Amino acid sequence: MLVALLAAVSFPGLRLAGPTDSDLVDRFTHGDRRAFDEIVRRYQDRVYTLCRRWLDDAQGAEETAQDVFIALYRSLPGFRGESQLSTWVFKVTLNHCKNHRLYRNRRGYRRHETIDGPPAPGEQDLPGRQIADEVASSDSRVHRNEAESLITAALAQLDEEHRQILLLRDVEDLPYEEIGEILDLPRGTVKSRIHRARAELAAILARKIGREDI
Amino acid sequence: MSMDTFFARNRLSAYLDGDLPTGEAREVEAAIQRDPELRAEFEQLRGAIEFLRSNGPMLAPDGFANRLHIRLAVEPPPSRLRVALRRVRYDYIGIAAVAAMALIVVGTQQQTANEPAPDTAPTVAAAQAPSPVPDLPAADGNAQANGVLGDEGGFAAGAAPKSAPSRKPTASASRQMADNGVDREAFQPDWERDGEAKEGALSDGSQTQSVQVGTLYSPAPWRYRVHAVGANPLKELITVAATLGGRIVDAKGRPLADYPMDEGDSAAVRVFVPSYNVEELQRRLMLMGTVDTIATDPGVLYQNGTEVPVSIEVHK
Repeated sequence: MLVALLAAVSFPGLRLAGPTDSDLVDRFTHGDRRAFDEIVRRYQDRVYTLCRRWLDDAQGAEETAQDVFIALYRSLPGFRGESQLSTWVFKVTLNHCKNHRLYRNRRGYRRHETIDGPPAPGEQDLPGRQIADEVASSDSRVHRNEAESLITAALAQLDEEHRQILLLRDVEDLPYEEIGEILDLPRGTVKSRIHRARAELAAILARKIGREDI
Repeated sequence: MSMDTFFARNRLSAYLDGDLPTGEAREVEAAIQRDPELRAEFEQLRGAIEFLRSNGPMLAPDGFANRLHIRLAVEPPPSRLRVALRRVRYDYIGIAAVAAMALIVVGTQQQTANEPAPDTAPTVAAAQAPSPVPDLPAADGNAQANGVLGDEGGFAAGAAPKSAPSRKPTASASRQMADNGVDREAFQPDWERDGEAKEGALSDGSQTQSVQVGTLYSPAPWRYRVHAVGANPLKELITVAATLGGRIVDAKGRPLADYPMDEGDSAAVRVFVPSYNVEELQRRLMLMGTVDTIATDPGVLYQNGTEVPVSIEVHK
């Protein structure tokens, strides 16, 4: 333990944390299914976030996120490691989100309203846990729900290009280079598109809640 | 020389990301201090980014991993060794297929050369052609051996062969004959009478939606283009078709033999599934990668359970 601590202090680059993504992929392709569990643990929140923010539908987002992991499970043995695993995961996730959205549109999703009228943005299809949570709402939870509604509504007003690049940069916290790889865009385009997307988001939020409240 | 407001405004986002060189960053800072309007814009941008960063990320719902495990339980365990062995096996299959094709071509050419001339009199135009075999008129011997018509095809307008052909003409030969006034029906094989031959016809995506149920070469009412991410999309498709109680054929209507696709490869296949499984097929395709829908209009009504054709263009 002491040796490990000293090594970490002496050699900051030395890796003492868990296995890298490529270690996990390697183990998985050699038949270790537990390695895939670890990959799921690492990426489930980020994949779910991307799906949820893209689709604005909790149930559809979970279904899509699971589809993403199933697709990864099937295709990981063919992963050649030419890019980072995260790049691949997010690329697959975006593809699935777009497909799910198209599929949903074709099926006339939300074409029929409930007897109570259309749900407010950010309130659709809440899973059981969230509904139960809301029963015992506190001030902070109210604020969080307001912020949630605001983000959902603001993202919904962005066009697809701007929404996806903002999610990758400011929600998933990916560097420009990786975003460029995921979207097949040169770095300069990524940079300028992020700038335009952020400016648009800022304008939308400002209109919604007033500049001083952001 | 200091940076003007316009350039500073275009660099606000990169400045907030810490992506500017030190000199430029200092100039942006100075511009923000100097220009109140720019400062307000900067604060608004920073506020929006912080708001999104602090409220954007979410947690996967409780039980997400458990539900995923249930779905994964039916998946076969992954194995790099199996993938490698499969690749080696496919390599040999490829070599064997090429060898078999070469043998067939050589055999066909020899058979053509040895065929005796028919007893029936050839047409005037056909007699003018240098071909020794009148049933497939050709401008030259090579074209004839390959079943391809040359210019004018050797048939004069209005002339028709007096005897039935000894072997079937190709689709292009039939079309050429029709153009030259030949009784097309006499030469038209059954599979063409129901619709035009459509090998590789998916690529333009501009065909009509008229459909003949069970006709192999008529345009399929459901057509998709899949940009697959998996290692072996054709294998996946075969499994999907089997799972949905269907079957899968290649562009020529032969049962599909899968092979590993390289990046940039594409293949046109057709899946026949019971009508109630078409939507499930579409959902399974989405699991394979990005799906572009070319057509989803059935064109005709299918009885529940009828086998319907779905054309799929697979890109790797």
